[in-house]
Amino acid sequence: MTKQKKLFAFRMKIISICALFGFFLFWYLVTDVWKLAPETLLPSPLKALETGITKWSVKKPDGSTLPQHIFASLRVSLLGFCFGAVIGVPLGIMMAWWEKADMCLKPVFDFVRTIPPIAWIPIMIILLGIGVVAKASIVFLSAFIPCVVNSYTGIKSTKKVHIWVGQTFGASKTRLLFKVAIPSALPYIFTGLKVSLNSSWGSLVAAEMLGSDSGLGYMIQLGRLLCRADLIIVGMVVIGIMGTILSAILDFMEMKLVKGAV
Amino acid sequence: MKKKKMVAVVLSLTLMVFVLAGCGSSGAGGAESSQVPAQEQAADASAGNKEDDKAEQAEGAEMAAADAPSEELVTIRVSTLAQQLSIPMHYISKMGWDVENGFKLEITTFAQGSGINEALGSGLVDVFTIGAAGVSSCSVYDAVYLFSHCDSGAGQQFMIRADSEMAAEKGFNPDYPEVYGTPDSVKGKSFLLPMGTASQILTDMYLEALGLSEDDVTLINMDNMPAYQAFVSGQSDFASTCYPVADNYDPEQYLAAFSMTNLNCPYYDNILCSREFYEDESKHDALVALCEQLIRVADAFKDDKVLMDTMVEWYDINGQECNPDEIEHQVLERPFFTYDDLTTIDSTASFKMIADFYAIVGNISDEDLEKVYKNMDDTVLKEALEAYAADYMK
Repeated sequence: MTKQKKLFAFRMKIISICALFGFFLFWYLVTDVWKLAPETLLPSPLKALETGITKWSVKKPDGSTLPQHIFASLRVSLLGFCFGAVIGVPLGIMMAWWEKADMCLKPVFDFVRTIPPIAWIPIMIILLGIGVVAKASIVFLSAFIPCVVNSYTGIKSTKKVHIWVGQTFGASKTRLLFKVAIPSALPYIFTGLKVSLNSSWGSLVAAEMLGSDSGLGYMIQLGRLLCRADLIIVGMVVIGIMGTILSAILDFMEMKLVKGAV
Repeated sequence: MKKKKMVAVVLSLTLMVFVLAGCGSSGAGGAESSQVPAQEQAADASAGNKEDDKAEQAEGAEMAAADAPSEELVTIRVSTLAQQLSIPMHYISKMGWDVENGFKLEITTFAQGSGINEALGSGLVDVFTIGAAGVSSCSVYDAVYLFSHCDSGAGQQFMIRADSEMAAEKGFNPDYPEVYGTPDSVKGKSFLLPMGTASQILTDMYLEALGLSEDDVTLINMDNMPAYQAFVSGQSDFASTCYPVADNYDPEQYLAAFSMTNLNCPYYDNILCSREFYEDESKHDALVALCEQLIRVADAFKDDKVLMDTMVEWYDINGQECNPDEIEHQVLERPFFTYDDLTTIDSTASFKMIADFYAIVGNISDEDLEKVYKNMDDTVLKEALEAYAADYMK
């Protein structure tokens, strides 16, 4: 990387940090300085920070410490996300590559994708009970859809000319898939994974409505019940941080695996 | 270029002004669920096949219109739940007793007490009917507890399977002869319950009666309806329930292990009001009048038919189907406090017990507990009782 590019990247990082800082400053001004919202409805960032620090070691009022909540939520969301990716990506590729699979699976997929994950809760209780598997299944349902859609679109977007070149050199259909279609679809697949990761965190609160005794979604629900807006904010911020970290990991993987990715 | 920048700055400032204006509370606004004025709700309900009610309602409204004072009515924004505890508000509105007494009820129905609390925090509520969540209303939003108006302990219970080991023994603690289970059979078991509500209080009382604590069992947060689904599909060992869900359990397969009734735990629903409304001198008379009418409703509800009809109507308004024959025992087991009840029993006992419990389990701090006690004020109730005695007991 040239010196100029490095400087540009550094400037961009500074701008990002400033934007984040600006957001927290605005929040602080609205709550602590201008007092536009009562603390019971929107606690200040300092109060949220204080609650977050306290919750790190204190179980009250929801029965678990913050690390316990984070671990419980990570387990559910990552399990759901991983299953979503492992099943969704190959399914999308298969549907895009083999027309018969597309004809068979697409109508079912189009039907299922429109159903919100929360609507599955009663069915999941009956089929899978109220344990981690049931919760991870709710997350899975919201995570696997972007994986399928993006993988499907990625494969369908493979340039015909690349396929023709492969065919000219005598590549079999399977070889074309693995050497031409999948590599060219990787940026789409990674975008799908990132969207899927966001969806999996998004559906966490819904998943933890399904009988929980810990988890960030559970903490948020209990915070609502007890009118503890500070707990809700802490839950939201932690979900945001976890999502950002996991997205950064996916970005890093994309950079390493996808040629031409920035 | 400069012109473009100017336009951008002006647009940004305008947007910010709108955002900040939106932050302020305006008294009007949205709520969680149905926001239908009471008269409209009553009109919708009467659209059914209840001709008698229609006539009664029309009569009430006519009387109210005839007796209505010429000065402007005080509007009271009342938040209710689609449950039995809120039917007195509907009945007052339906009968026109509000207009007749110088105030006008504007009823909004919420799905849960937590929704009412959020609306209270946003300044959208004057008076509300609420259960255990009322403690948070007092501790967080500085609401004022006026009085408890309904004994709703019946039906608040935990179910076990009839063939479970807990069902094998009853009356381990001689103080509670009807309670099932022993420390050995209950230890390590899981409970499905809506955490932070009366069900958690009940669980703790049960565990205490057996010499156990929350650390000896697993408490899983779940509302009563999903808990029912989970329990009948084989999950967990205990499931919290209350009316109307309680009647879904097959009595041959499931038993009530313990309840508010057999643990001698008082559980009442409450009437609270916002601090702002309470301190507004111009609205004090209307508040007293509303409480007086609530006592009058309790008197009217001594007639089982009136009570049942109003309950069925309230469910109908809120889109809940019910079979009057099936719900009759549920409704009649949860009486409203009449003048005599309010002058003889300690109706604050339940609210105080819930507040104490919240403090013990850490849902509220000791400071908050003090605040709750400070916010319990019986002045309005006393005035309402006096007015009721003068107006209706001659």
